[in-house]
Amino acid sequence: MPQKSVNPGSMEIKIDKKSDDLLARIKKTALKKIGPEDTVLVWPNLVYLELIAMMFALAILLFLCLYSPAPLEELASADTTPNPTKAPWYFLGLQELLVFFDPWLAGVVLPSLIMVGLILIPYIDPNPKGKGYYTFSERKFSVIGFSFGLALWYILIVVGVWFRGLDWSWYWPWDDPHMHQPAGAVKLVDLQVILQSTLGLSETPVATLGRYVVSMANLITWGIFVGYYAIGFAIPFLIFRNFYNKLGFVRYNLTMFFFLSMLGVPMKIFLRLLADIKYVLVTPWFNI
Amino acid sequence: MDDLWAYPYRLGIGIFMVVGTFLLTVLFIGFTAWLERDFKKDK
Amino acid sequence: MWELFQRIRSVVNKTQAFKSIFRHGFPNNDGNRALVMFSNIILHLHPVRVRRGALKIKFTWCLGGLTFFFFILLAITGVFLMFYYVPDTNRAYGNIKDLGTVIFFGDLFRSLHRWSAHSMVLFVWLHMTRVFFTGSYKPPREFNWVVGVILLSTTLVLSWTGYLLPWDQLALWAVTVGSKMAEASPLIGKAGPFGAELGMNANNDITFALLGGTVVGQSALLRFYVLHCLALPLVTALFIAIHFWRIRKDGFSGPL
Repeated sequence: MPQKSVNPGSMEIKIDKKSDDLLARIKKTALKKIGPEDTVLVWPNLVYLELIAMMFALAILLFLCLYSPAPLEELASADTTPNPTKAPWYFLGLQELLVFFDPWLAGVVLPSLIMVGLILIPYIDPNPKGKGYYTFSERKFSVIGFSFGLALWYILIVVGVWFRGLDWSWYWPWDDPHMHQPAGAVKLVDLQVILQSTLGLSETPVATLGRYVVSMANLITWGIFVGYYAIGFAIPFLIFRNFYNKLGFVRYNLTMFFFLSMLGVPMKIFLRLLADIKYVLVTPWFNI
Repeated sequence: MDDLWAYPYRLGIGIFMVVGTFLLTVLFIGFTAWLERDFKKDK
Repeated sequence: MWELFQRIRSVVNKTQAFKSIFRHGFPNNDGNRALVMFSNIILHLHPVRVRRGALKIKFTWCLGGLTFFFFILLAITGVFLMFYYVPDTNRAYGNIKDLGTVIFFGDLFRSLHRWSAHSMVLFVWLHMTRVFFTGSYKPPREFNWVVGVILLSTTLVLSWTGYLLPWDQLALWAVTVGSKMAEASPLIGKAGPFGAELGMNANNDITFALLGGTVVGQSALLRFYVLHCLALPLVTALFIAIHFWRIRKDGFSGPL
């Protein structure tokens, strides 16, 4: 198909009064008159407030500097590895995830998903209510979802900072932090091995794709993994159709993907913690 | 049953994580709800 | 005393030098209070008038402003620290030791730099939490939220690159943990999914690019130093400028 050439000079700018177009907004604000009785001058009212806040913050910082000056350990040496080796506190949540996930997931994919998910928030939240004021009652799902993700992030950091000691083992506050915890107390097993033995499946491969030998049990784990997302996508669609209708196809799928992935993180943690399952899904290239 | 509480503290860690996450979630939601009420009162 | 001060001020306010700098009288009447907001580049980040509700601390909790304040503090203390620091694996550790022993206020400035950095990371998180709970990312402010997320990542990377510079055990191994994670990146890391299939090895993967080598050594220190002191602060400052500009252009969401 031949492309239509567009002459920028001939383009028309349409102003949609209902939308938040810049031009429309300028018109709106220009028309809106705010009486001087509703407003105050920024100088001195707000500027002084900010000055007080800054001085207050600086005072607290100076106090912290006296209370706990910047530490300096021994000279860096590749020969002696400290035990445990801890990342800065703001990354300890991710480092804690290393206990339950492979590094490519804990260190790369999950943080990337968090970043992309955060960026997408304004684009997948079509709720016009709750703009510019605190509200829980008018946007329960968003607030609960965000609070849950935030809680997960902080609890993992708390665990990494205060509950992990030698060999990255768990230490309660009453445990002696200088004693190593006993090693090798738990044997982790892949889900497909459990399925294979409990269901009595044959080990003969169903298919072979290069290095990838697909067994029946492996196929079932794929089913479970894909099924988790499939069922997760389907339930709100079938039961809360209103929720789907409000979001539309693209927003709904993005929201559900990120929501289910977020929910999947604690689920995977508990599978490994309480059910001793190492990987849900095993392939020659990556394990989940 | 005893060994569930011994190292590696599987049950203890599990309960700690669930309770901790739950409490933090409630804290954040409660904070928002409190501010919602607080601002409505001021109006 | 007060009268003397007033008299000196009224004289100073009329001098050519004062007028050339401030271009209006002392802000003790409403006209000049408006003009000071117009004519001062830093104060001009604000509007001249705000709604009465904006003075309520419980809406913003001053989180965004304080994050910016920490950034400024970091820039000031950072420049001071740069005077005494050479990014050389043989000298860096000694330089930091000197800050704590022989340089006046060296320890204070280093501690202040460190605490400001921790505070900035925490306050970026808290600020984002506040912005979420007040729904201030909703149209037409979506893009400013995106700029905010970019600032979140530059803040984290800034803090992380700064972690290496003291060249002590804490620094080396904290960064080693991070580079081990980068090694596991899908496609572009040698230990990540499909990395080996795409020909990634220790000499060409993402960790090599990050560290300038295969281990955390001299080239890694230099890279982190340049990123920490030059590249990332510039990028962050640019996005902060965009962030503030967009706040004014998109308008305040709340009672401001």
